[in-house]
Amino acid sequence: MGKQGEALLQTKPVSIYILYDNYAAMLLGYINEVVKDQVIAEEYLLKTFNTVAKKFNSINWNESNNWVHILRFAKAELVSFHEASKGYETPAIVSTSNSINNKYLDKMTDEQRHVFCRIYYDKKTTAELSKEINKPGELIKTLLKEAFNIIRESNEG
Amino acid sequence: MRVKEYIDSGILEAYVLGAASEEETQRLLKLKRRYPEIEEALFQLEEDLEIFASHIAIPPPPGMFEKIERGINALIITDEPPQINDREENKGNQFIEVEAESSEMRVHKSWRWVLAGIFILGKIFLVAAIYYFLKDRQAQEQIQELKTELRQYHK
Repeated sequence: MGKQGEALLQTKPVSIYILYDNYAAMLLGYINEVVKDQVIAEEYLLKTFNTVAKKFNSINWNESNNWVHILRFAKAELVSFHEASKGYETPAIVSTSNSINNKYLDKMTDEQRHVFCRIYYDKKTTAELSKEINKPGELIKTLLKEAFNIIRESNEG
Repeated sequence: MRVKEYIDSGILEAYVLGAASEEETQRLLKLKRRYPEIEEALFQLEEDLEIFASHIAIPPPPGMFEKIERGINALIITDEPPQINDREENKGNQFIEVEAESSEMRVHKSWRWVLAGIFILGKIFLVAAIYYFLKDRQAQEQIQELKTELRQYHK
């Protein structure tokens, strides 16, 4: 094995291990909320971490926090799921009673929850969502901000 | 530029969730470098998002990391650069490799002329052998004919 390979062995798995240790449970929870199937969720978790490992050196880890980076990779992997299940809405959006007990979503209004979940779970852009629900982009962003405020206030309270 | 107004617009939240347009993203990244308030607000939002995600966390089953590790190890082996120094190291070594791990044999380029010579000589010998064989057979036949004629003559 060459020097480059040895260096990768020494550094990569350690970093990936730290990422896995800190974020795998969060990521599995997120994916599970999207696909609503534990086995499929685990497959996507595996795919996401493999992609992160593959692109590890090209990621600017200082640009955002690690969770945001990993979440972007997971969303990219889940594109295939969204395409295969067009018209499907993440259960959390439809009604909070269908989703697992979520103290943050429970405090949001239907509009705030819809906007937050459509973007967070279903990878919609603000422009796409604005078109979809026929509301101005500014309103979508405002609702999104309100949803984040609720998350923050719930943590502080 | 009203920084507070920009922060309150909800564009930062859209960016953190990857829902902002390319144009909005580029502008935000420029402003982030210029205004520490924006950078701080973004940092706070990322923290909020992480807390939200931790609330719905599900521990992965045992053995999951081993599967990921196997994928990484396979990646390392695939990425390994080819060993290009072997030939350089053996430059002064003019021995012909007869036995190696590979089923193929490598020989020095100069051997191609020797092998070509052997091939041509082989062909020449083959043609000569056939020629002399036929000539000998013809001679044998002529001897037989002469013997027959002699027998008839003596009778």
